[in-house]
Amino acid sequence: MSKLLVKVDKRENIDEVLKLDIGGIILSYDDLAVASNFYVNMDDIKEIRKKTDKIIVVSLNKMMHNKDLAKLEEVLIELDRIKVDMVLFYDVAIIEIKKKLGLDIPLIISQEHLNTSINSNEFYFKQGVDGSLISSDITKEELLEIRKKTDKIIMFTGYGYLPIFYSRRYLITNYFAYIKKEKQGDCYFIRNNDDFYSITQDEYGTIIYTKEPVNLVNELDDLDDIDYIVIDGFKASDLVDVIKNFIKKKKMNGLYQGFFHTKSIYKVKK
Amino acid sequence: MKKIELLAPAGSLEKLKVAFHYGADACYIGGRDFSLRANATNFSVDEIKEACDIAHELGKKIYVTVNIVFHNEDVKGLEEYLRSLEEAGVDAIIMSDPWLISFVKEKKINLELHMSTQASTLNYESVNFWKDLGVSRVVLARELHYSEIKDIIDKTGMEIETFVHGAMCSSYSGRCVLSNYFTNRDANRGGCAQVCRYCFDLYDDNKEKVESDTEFTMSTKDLSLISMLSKMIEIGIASLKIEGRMRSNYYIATVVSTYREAIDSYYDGTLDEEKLAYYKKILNRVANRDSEEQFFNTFPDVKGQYFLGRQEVSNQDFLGIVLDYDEENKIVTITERNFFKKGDVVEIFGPKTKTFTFTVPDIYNEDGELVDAARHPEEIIRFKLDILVRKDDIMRIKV
Repeated sequence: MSKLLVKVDKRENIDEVLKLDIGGIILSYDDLAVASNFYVNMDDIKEIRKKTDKIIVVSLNKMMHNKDLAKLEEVLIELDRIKVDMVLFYDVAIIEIKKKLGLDIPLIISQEHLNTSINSNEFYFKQGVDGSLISSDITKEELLEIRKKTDKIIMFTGYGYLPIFYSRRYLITNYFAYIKKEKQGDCYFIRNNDDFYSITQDEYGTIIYTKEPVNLVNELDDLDDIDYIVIDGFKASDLVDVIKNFIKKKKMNGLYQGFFHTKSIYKVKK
Repeated sequence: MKKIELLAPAGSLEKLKVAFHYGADACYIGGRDFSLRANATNFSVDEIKEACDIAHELGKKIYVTVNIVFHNEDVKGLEEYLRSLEEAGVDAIIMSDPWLISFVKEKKINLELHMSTQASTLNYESVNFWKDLGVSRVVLARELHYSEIKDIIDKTGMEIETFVHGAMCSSYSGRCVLSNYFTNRDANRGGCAQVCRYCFDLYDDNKEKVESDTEFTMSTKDLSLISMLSKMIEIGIASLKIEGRMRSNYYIATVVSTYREAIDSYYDGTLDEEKLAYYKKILNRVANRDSEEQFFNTFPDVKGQYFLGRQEVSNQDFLGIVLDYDEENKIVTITERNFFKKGDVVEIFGPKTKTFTFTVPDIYNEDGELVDAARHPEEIIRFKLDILVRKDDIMRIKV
């Protein structure tokens, strides 16, 4: 039976979200995580730890530069000490640091577009990684095959806008500089046919998200063997409502499911 | 001091020969499977073997890209393919999916492993991670300042390859699947439709259109680090990679020969500002897109972006290739690539021919008839030329 893991979208929601029948929450760590609209520091985590016995997962999903490594080490040591349940990560530097420092903290790899096969996940499991938030770029059949072939922790995004482009550049700022207009905020949309894709910028660069949140609430019966279904609160209009729908497995029409039932192609010429 | 490697792209055997002829130390090529650029011609296994034979005869190297991000279904035929690369004598494979490291070990396939830029390696701990697993070279992410690259080299001792010239992803490599979500073509398996070069209307948070004559795009200018060459050598980079497996012979010849000359000038102590300015001019002419130094020396701003849509002007500089030179009668035979005529000021260059400028004299067609211009691609043209040139030298408009 899957548990729900909720990436919280704002501080004010934490208590309400924790009261719901969920497995735990994901918190994005300030300056070491991206693609969130709510970030926490160590004091926040300690405070939240006191409030709940539910699972706390800390996301450190930024791509690290050399200058980030000292802080990353400090944070990992402290997260290990206070026994945070899991760390979600993108950069393999975290595996190296965990080994080097002899830490016990469970690591969950979350590389968005790279964990697409049983083999690449197995590779990381052999390196001491404890689980994987599987890429949403694969189909249901591929996901279930991965599930079948490992007893490690498997997570999958059940709800959320998926990052589909991440640049280190400040693309919105650059555009407004070029057209000589003033940028109003850091959140815009690009339009492709009738679809609007959110594009956001912060100090770590620019991210474009899917046109709609992927919503797999109708698929939950088939995903029972996935350990954790992630509900990503980023830009969710009413996160609590979304969670309640997932708890009730409320069937809905017209949901966007990304590649869950669609295979991507790559050879267009014979 | 070990001389820095000049690593060129080759999309075909012909391009590979051009790259080696013009001074590349190594070429990277893609096979017909398991390689990004899935829709390029790419090399058959027999052609890879031939490429290795050509390279090794010249004391040069071949690296083969096996750089897709695998799905469960993609493993079919992989073991046989990797064994055929081993048998062909490939010097290394460039991979991005790390399970290939364990796969190659488990299957006891003797292939050196280079970690692709698709893995977006940005720091020394990540480099150490790959090093501990037996990767022999890391192609770093393009989003690094030279001080970070130096720090990585100093702290890891790893053999580091970086891009020196060519087109760039606007995103961190591997972190863009716009192509998947806009066109259903899988970017990380070689189907990239280059959506980052599309133009879009931009809307604000209330979905009101931002009014402008210029549309929004993620597109970046190309990378050109010719001005940073000395620094790249001095901080200890092992290999300089030129992007462009799908580029033309002329592009490959020009870019490779320019970097070859610049690198050699550095080592013989003659690289100066005047030479760099000339090299820059040549490189600017050969591309049909503008270039910048991007992240290597500064943080790219609006100047690193391209807001002109896809209106890239086709380059007409490449005029012809020397087929033959009759030393006795001082007659050169050229196969034409772009229009030229008597009176045009042009130049010829080649690996053993120092670039020189001249004015096109009377020109004659294959039948010896005087013609006013060379108008047709692959037309055979002859004219008098007092300076010795060699087969496969290139004639272009004066830079």
